[in-house]
Amino acid sequence: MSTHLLRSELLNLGATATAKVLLAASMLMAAISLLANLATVDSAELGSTATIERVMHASTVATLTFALIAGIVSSTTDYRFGRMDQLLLSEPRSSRVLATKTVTGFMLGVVYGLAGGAVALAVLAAYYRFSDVAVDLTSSVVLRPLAGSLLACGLFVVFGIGLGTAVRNQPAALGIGLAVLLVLQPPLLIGLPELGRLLPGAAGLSMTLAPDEALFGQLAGTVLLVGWAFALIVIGDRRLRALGA
Amino acid sequence: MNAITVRGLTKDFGGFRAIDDVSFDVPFGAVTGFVGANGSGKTTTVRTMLGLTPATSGLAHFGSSSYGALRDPRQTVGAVVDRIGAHPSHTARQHLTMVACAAQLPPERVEAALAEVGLADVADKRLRAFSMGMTQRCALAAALLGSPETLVLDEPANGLDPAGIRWLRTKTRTWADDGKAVLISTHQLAELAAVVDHVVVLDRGRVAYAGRADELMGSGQTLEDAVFDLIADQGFDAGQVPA
Repeated sequence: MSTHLLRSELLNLGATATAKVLLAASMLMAAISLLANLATVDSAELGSTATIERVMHASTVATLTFALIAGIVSSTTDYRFGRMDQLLLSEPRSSRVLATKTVTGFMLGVVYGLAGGAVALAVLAAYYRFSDVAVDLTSSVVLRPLAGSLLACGLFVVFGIGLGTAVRNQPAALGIGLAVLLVLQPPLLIGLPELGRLLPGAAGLSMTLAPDEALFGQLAGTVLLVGWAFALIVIGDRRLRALGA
Repeated sequence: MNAITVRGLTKDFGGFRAIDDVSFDVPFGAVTGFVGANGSGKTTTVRTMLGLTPATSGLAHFGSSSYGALRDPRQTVGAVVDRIGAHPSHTARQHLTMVACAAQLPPERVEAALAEVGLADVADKRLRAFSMGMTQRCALAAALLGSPETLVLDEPANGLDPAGIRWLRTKTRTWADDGKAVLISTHQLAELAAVVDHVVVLDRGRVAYAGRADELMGSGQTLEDAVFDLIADQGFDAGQVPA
């Protein structure tokens, strides 16, 4: 990785409208998911730990999904518009380019996590105040999942960058990523939990302490998701070397 | 030493050989035309030379190094490839700033390159609002950012209006007269004839001719006629796109 390439990638993220639109959409979806879940809770149960865990989980899933989309879109857009040509003309060593994209992707993911967390806290605070229920939003029940989601969002963007670099075709990469996360994983976690919990999405949920007994603990989930992200980046790098830009 | 040395460059896509044992030299202080019909392998050759497409075999050296081994690639070689390589929501200035930043070039070079290609007044316009000719000028600006001694331009006149084509012709000649090496891949033979010193003719992925343009043209023949005669001699119908 090189600092000049890192600066260039950060300029690219700041200048690209899609990145901002996706971030705004992720914040909106985090808020909607949280409110939709809160609306189904009986008023007597509002302040319980189980309720807070469940609504936080809903908001985190929305943020993680958008972090994955952001990673895939960011890398596939480079191929779609030929930006990878310009990057490789400036830095011909593809592994350096990909290492830089990994770092900027992780930073972008942390921004997603922070934004999603801020939205979740703001919505929760407003909803509980409106409902006249006293809840400590600085308790570990709230903060530990949020801390885990910062890291998980960072790794999800990196995973998306690896997947996008490997697949290149934007609709195909989005289809594969979202199918694994939203279609394949939920039934596997119920029917074959030993297998389902190994999937990247389940690893991300483990990091956010999602209320599901099939999932790993926070540390094991982190190790697993780091492994997934690293594996996809390595596959993407191999593909980039074999096929060129 | 030649600016560019290409030897035995070959690229296979699966079972299809796109370029086959391509060899030629590009000297400094001259315009070298790289010509051939659509599908003859010009773009594949250019991309392979620049390391954007990995070669199956052979080499392309800029001076004594491959593109991938150059210490300051943008300061050594300026390239226009088949696409501008920028997000359409970026402005010309943003795009060039990113390229300059990635290549460790000072920000002043962005303004200089914009001025050189005549885009200073529209530098803050989004690329999606650019005409093809303006997009092409922006691609040229990116190639000129590092003030390189070697220019590799793949179809740089595409989309340029007559004034733009005239501007490019003058610029190309000036760059060569200033000692730069200019390799210009094009199928606009009539335009190329006005500035070219050397010609490399590619026919179905193989070099059909590499040498001085005046020697190819002989006496009284235009470059266009000479190239078509050469390709016809090799049994190729110039109006037919290769499979």
